[in-house]
Amino acid sequence: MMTEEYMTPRERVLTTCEFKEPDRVPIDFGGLISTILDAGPYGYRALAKYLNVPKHPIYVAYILNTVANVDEKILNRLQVDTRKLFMPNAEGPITFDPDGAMTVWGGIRLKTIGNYYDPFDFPMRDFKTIDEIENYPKWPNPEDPMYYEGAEKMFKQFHEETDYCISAIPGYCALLGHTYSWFRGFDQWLLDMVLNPEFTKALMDKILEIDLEFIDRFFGLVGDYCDIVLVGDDMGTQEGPFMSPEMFREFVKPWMKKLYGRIHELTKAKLQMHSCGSIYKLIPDLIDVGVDIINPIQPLAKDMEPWRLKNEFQGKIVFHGGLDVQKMMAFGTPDEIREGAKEYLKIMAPGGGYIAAGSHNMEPETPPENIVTLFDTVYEYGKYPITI
Amino acid sequence: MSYQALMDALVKGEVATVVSIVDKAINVENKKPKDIIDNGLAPGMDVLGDQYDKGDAFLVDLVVAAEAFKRAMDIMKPKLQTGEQQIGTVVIGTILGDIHDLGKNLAKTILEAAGFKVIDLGVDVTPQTFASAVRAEILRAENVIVGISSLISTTMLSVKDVVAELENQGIRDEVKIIVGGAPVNEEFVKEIGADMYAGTAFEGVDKVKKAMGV
Repeated sequence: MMTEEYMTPRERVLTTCEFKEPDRVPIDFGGLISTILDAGPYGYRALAKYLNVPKHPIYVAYILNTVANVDEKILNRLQVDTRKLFMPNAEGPITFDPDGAMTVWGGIRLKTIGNYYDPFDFPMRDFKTIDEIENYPKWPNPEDPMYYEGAEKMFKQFHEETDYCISAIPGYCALLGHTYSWFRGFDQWLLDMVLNPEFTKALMDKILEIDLEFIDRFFGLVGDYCDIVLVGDDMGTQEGPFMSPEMFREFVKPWMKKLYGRIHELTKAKLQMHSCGSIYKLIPDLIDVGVDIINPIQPLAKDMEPWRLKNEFQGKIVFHGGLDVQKMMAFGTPDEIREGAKEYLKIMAPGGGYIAAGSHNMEPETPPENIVTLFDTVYEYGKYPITI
Repeated sequence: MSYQALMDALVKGEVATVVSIVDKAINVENKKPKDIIDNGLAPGMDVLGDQYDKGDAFLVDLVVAAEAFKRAMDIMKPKLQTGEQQIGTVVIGTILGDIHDLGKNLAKTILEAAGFKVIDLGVDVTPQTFASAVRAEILRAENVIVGISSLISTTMLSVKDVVAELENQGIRDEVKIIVGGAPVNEEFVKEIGADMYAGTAFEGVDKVKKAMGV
């Protein structure tokens, strides 16, 4: 039996975040994560064409190459309950370099690799001393008003004039380990923790110091007008966390606690963290640092099966994502997607605490009909009480 | 020297201890690099591989052990060049268009620890470069394997071009080809006409060993 919707999108998301059943499972798509790339053979353009959305300018969020401005017609058609608002110029001043690369926030260099913009040519790779961190000439300037231009007005307008759940995306200044590895290289980040712990902590301190200055200013402007804040730091491979929980507690967690703690002081919004891969072993620590919602929940990664997560963490952290993009969405048939989505909902939706979304961005190989099938299935079978 | 102490230091990621044991073994005790690798470093890597498979070791442990191994190899290199027998050659690289090399570098280290000569072509490697390197190596060694790493789905299609280039140059049958990386799988490897798929660096090394009858 179909039940009528009786909640606004914002109420729906916030109700599930309280571990109560709303009228239906909230749906998320668009923005930076668990959304879609602008890359062929399918990607955003194919989805827009499939849904008869007229051609329009596409803005991408650098790094992930996701479409930052998914058209309203698509969001409405897919019954999406959230709207994403970015820090207006989160990348800072962008320079396009003669070698085809670009330089963004803090001197991080990006170049196009396949469908992504990948950091390379790490500007602090050769640093040996803590003094070099302090003397680095390219630290971004949080006082520069360009970062926040128009933010307050935009957030206020969306929050007051729509009933969508507003997700704030601060971008670079909501990252820690990522920023570290973009300055030093991912392998060097891991090596630093073991070979040069004092340097590691000093660089984490400096990144946190800069992040907090941005965070204070940004949420001073928009803190009252957002419902979710998106932060992120990938912590897992397909097989397990990058590091042991003990190491995480020494080299990452204290800084996360300060950053996320400050965000909680500045806004009542729920804190959503993006962390790829197998992070099951770290979830209790993530709850401890103030993560309310965890994304993207990759069900094919080790220990990330829905039953395990639901049994262990229901009522403690909200799960966001989980609908497999690694195999099901890219290579499954619409029938397989319907069955896969129903199976996932059956486990994750009861009792609330679940927001439906892809287990990461839809890969460019994902046919548009698969995407529409997925969200139609969630909409149809996600009505509470779940009767699958 | 104690091989057990060397093995333990490698497993625990104590880079300075690994370096000091190997330095003393080579420069004071006059040990052979092959013995140090066979009795200390290689078994250490095996232990770590088992721990990783069981979820008791983490990526950081592999990266640190690889760094320790690299530093040990640097100490042993002058002695290695004086006629150590190697069990085969692996020409390894990250495919054209891709710069991710963490998995490739781990595979390289574990292969070296297992006694292989590794020709590392680096990242963003063209099919022609793979073919040229193979051409050079098959003149020097009987057992040559090509290891191709691809981490993103768009670049994995270029792996097929490596197979095609080796065929064009008439040297496809001289080598075995192993492919690894996040987007590839057993099916893909069969489809493009390569020989083996590696889900992890350790699995790759096991398969290379088997292919060479080691």
